[in-house]
Amino acid sequence: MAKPLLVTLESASYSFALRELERGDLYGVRKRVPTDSLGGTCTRAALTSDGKLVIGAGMSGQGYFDEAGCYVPRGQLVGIDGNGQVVESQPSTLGIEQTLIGPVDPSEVLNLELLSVYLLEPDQASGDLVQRLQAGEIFTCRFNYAASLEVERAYILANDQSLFALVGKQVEPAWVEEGLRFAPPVDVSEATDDLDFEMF
Amino acid sequence: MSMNLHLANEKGRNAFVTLATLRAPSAPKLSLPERTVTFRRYITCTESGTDAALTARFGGNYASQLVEADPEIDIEQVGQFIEGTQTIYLDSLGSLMEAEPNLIEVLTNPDGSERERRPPQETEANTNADLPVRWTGKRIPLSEAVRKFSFRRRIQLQHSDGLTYEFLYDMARDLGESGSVVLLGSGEKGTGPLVFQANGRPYRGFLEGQTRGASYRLTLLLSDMELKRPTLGSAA
Repeated sequence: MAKPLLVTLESASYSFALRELERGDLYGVRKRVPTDSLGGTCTRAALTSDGKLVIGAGMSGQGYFDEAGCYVPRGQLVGIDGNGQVVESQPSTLGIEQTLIGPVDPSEVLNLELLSVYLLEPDQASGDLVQRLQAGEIFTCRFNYAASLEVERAYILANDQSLFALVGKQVEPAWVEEGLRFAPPVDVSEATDDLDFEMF
Repeated sequence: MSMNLHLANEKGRNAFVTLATLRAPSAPKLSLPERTVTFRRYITCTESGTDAALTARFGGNYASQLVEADPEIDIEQVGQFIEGTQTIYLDSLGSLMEAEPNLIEVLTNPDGSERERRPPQETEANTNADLPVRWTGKRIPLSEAVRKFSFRRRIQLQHSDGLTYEFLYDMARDLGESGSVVLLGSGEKGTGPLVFQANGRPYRGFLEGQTRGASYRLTLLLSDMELKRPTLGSAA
């Protein structure tokens, strides 16, 4: 069982058990299945480009290799950002108290490239925070389900169904300017009744 | 996915506008400092090395044969990098299919039980079609919408000329001033979901907007899931 989500707000601590919520949990799943002439289920495989080898399930592996084609164990790899700088692995935030910020404006929740949705089950001591969430307040904190190279952001909110944590990476749209006006407004006072039809 | 959206406003005026997907910066990648590392697939086993093949050759318990002679390793093939492949299908007897398989759709319930099997239903894209996606007039306060729906994707609408600038700016101002989002709908009645590519995932789309001087931000919020508790006791 996953460690709980622990948060603090105004010096009080709260704990929530969490479980990921997926679309299939609510609505079921629709899947396309290939079948043969006997109605049996087909399996997908891969044919190498030379046509000599069929690669089925369990017949391939994957990993990291250097320029010389030598295997590099995952434990030797480090995170490298877009500037070529080494990035340290960030530990999971579960089981470690995270400071809640908020309440935040509801529009801030939209600035999230949503990756996961979690159902939250509060422990008995979370009454105060649960009441504020159910009143419509929204809070945010750092969130990392498992150790990774980035820490994501969680927004904690509630509706009449349950409490939820929406987790993802922050992204905000830019303001769109009007841009060029190719036809500046006409000054009527400069208009003339004489129209030039010669035009050459 | 089409980069254009055919949209009609509250008054039924329609225009084609540009879409821009919003993406967070890419995550750091696993690598080595000042060296190039690539993620590759390689062959670990050929058909003669599978459990079925070895069982047929040696019987059920072939552990000693593996230790003594390595019959599961084809030294010509194992370890080769897989560069380019073509997807194929094996029939229910494990033979290569030389014709396209038949496709059926299997629908399962939230508890995993099968609900229905049926011929595949083809879905056409409808966001850049002759019939515009419509402003339905169904508004929801933004504060309520973010607690009711999970917005999986967010797409920004942009103008391409002066007329579409006014078209989008007016929508953004209306929505920003009212603090609400409006449901968009497809189809003749404007009640259908938004489908951006053929057989793509259908979404419920909501418009959200703000203005700041002559600038605007008008985004399409796409949801495929409500925020609610599963009804099954075991799933909850």
